[in-house]
Amino acid sequence: MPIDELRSIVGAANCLVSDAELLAYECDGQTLHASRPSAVVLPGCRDEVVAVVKACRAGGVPFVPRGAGTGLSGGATACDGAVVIECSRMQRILEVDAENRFAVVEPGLVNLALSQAVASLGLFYAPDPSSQLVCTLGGNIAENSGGPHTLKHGTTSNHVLALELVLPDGEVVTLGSPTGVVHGFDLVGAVVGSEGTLGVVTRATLRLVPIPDCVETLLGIFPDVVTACRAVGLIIESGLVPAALEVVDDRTIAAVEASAYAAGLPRDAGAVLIIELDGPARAVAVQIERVEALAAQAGASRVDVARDEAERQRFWRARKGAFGAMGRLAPDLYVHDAVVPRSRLPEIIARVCEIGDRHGLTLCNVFHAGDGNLHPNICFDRRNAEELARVVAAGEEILRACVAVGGVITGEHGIGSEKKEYMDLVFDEADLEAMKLLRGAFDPDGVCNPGKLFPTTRSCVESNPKARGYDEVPFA
Amino acid sequence: MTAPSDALLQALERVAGADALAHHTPELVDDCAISLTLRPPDAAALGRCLEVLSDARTGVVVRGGASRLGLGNVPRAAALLLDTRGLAGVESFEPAEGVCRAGAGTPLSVLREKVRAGGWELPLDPPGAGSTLGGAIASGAFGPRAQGYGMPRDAVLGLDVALATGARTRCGGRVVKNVTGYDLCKLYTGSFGALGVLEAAWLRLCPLPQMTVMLEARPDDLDAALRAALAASRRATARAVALHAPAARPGAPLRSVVELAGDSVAVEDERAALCVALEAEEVDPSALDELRAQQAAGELVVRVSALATRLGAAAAALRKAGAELLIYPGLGVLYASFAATTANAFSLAVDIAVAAGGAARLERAPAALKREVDVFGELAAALPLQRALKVRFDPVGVLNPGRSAGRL
Ligand SMILES: Cc1cc2nc3c(=O)[nH]c(=O)nc-3n(C[C@H](O)[C@H](O)[C@@H](O)COP(=O)(O)OP(=O)(O)OC[C@H]3O[C@@H](n4cnc5c(N)ncnc54)[C@H](O)[C@@H]3O)c2cc1C
Ligand SMILES: Cc1cc2nc3c(=O)[nH]c(=O)nc-3n(C[C@H](O)[C@H](O)[C@H](O)COP(=O)(O)OP(=O)(O)OC[C@H]3O[C@@H](n4cnc5c(N)ncnc54)[C@H](O)[C@@H]3O)c2cc1C
Repeated sequence: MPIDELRSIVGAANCLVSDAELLAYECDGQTLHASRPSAVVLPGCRDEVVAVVKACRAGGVPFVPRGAGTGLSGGATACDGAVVIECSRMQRILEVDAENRFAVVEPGLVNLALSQAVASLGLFYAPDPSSQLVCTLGGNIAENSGGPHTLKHGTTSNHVLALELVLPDGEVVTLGSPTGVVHGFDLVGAVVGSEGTLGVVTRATLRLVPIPDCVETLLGIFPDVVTACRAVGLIIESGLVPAALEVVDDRTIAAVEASAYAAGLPRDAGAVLIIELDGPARAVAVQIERVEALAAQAGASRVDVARDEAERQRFWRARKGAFGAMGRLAPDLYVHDAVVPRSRLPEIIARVCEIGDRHGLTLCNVFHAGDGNLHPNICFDRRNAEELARVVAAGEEILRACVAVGGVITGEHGIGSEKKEYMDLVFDEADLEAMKLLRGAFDPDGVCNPGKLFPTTRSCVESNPKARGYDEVPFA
Repeated sequence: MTAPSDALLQALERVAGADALAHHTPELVDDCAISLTLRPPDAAALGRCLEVLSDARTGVVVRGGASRLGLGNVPRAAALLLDTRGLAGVESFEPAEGVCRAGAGTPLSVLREKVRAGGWELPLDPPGAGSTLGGAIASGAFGPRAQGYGMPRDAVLGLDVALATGARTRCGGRVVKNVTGYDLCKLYTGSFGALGVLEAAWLRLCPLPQMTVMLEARPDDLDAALRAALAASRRATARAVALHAPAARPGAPLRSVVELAGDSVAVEDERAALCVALEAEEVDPSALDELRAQQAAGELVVRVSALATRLGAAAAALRKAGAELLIYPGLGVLYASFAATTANAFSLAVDIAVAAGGAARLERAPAALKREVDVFGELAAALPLQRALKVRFDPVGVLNPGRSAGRL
């Protein structure tokens, strides 16, 4: 372990090796897959990242990029005694080009900080994960994070124009272009969402979008969550594209209303649907009428339009305070993430609740309904081994149910360590082999964030180039 | 080109059926004459064919509608055309969901009509009647309406792909949000068939707009017109903005076309505003297609991307060099057509594009010229990765050998 060398690269203060220090890095927001790194370094610039990567290579140690550690799939957890490269010190905004609508940032910059920095220019950075107060743009890029406003504005992948990447051999490459026009293979597209396994992002050029003229927020009150989901289906089918469509179920409402995040929601509501519309003011006014009619048709008992910013914030509090509120219910919270076709939401949400109930679990739903992106959240105590087993069993049943209706096992949190053994619910051996070809092009030796994404039950070792005849290829 | 051996032809007939092979008068792909076409009847046969071709180390040119088969470097060694049009058909269209799935060989026009009848719009722009879905995705083709539709990469939710080895794979899915594994869809989209043969795709559709309006103006100063067009392209309902500038000569008129699409009230408001700002008037919807037909005109055509603020400088420099221009200001792209086919024109365009923060691609040129330059221009930094990918996905060089950036 090249500790002395790492220290000399980043400075002793930025190289953590004691047990007490490393404890905080055993996991990310997904606490079930803890594993301690052999060291944590906090480089201050790209060149230090390069030097750290090269030192790790020379020392034969794998490494893992890390942002704020809010990931929910164990992506930033260090497998195989890896060294954690935490990017939080690299948090400068290097350039803002308002006219061409992009910003160049370092990966440790916190998501919300970018939107705040460009607000005075009438611009914002659209992907808004609920963790945006703390999570980093580097983490967002690695996970292709979404958020409530992904429905209209797209996920992170739609907003990354170019990347500077330190490859696993220490080489630095710039991929993409601030023009957004792809030239050659779309390598930016391949790196976004690659969960920190293809290299360390040290700089990103991100699209900025204009703050819409008009934003209106509606709160639909529904007798139950299935009815709320039906309204979502009608809205999507009608061709409306709201900025956000978020469902909060009765169990979450109860938790929120009993907490400091209380938003004054009707306690007897079976579910609420937050609908946000943005665009030209006159168009939004007409859209409000359409949404109200569709919600009524689905069976809403009421639809309120926020009268002012304070009321708008109150509506959102039900959504944004949900995780905090649920955190009060039990020591641990398992935030699940799966996607189904939107028209299947009513049946699948009923099924999810049934699965939770059958396993005797406290399961609450608060989710990006417009994208069909479920977040069944299970409150539990991981010290209770028997309960933990039920949590895991229910989680797997939910994933299987989603896949059975044409869905997938993660919409925004990633596979990481958490779901790698479930990859074969969605993909077969050949599909995974194709993914390994991509991995192999960037990281032939599998040293960058090992132990993630691919099932370990099969050989997780990178395919042997010789066996594939690469030595005979006509390109040299 | 050396003809494929009898043994290879027999093996292909065995796995794809006797009808799958057709000998014909030579078709030119650049200066490469190919007189044999293999058209697998379905995706399973396609996989088996690729396995045979891979074993025989035989290169092919993948062909959809052949509307832009000339785009790419000159093929290195291609014995036959691999025609994907047997993989046709709209397999699923769900109006409730706004998604559809179709075979790669499906003509875009067929798919477009089908989803339009159900209230949705296919967010892929190439009009070419013969273009296939697979060809449009493989070439990452976008036209002026990408401004409103987004790029092809945004529309592709999932792909079925036969790899060069014949392995049949899937990536992505049918849902609108998905991070299950690597996003290989992005890698295949725009890869010009170099990494795999697309079999079928799941697409995300756009809602049909309530109202569509076409406006046209005839400005006379390029720089001012470009600025106005850029401002127009930033309007909420601007779905497409195109500006045509003929090769500079005194009095030659410019044409600026704006298509607005969206909710009626918003379109009406912006139509009123733009008619004043651009001195534009409403015209027939065909104006845009008419204008973009210029995109492919000319013996030597270069696509230049640029930052919005530098598009004007790039346009001026290219026009000074004698080019006719078709500019999509909101996309930061212009097509420059030159009457004379010299390598100089391309290298000049590369320099101009780089100075404008973008890149240049040679869209169309005689094969002799293409042998002198890489049609993708400069790609130095990323080239080792591009090569590493090509080598892994297509180890023996079956798929469009020599045609990608870096002549991979
Ligand atoms: C009138 C007109 C206007 C056009 N306007 C535009 C425009 O504005 N912007 C633009 O970008 N393009 C434009 N195009 C180009 C063309 O429409 C697109 O490039 C695309 O739709 C080609 O489809 P195709 O089926 O003809 O593909 P082909 O020309 O047959 O093939 C194109 C490329 O894709 C590969 N390919 C084809 N099918 C597959 C498959 N199934 N799997 C893997 N690789 C495959 C081929 O090997 C080739 O490299 C235009 C074409 C026409 C005729
Ligand atoms: C309360 C809460 C709410 C959340 N809400 C959402 C939500 O709405 N939508 C959503 O998508 N997610 C959400 N998340 C999940 C999480 O916040 C996101 O995945 C986020 O992008 C992680 O960022 P991070 O900086 O914490 O990254 P980390 O957790 O530190 O790392 C995540 C992954 O990114 C990689 N990585 C980090 N930095 C780099 C780099 N510079 N280069 C290469 N790879 C790197 C790591 O290796 C790891 O694989 C939520 C999490 C919490 C705790």
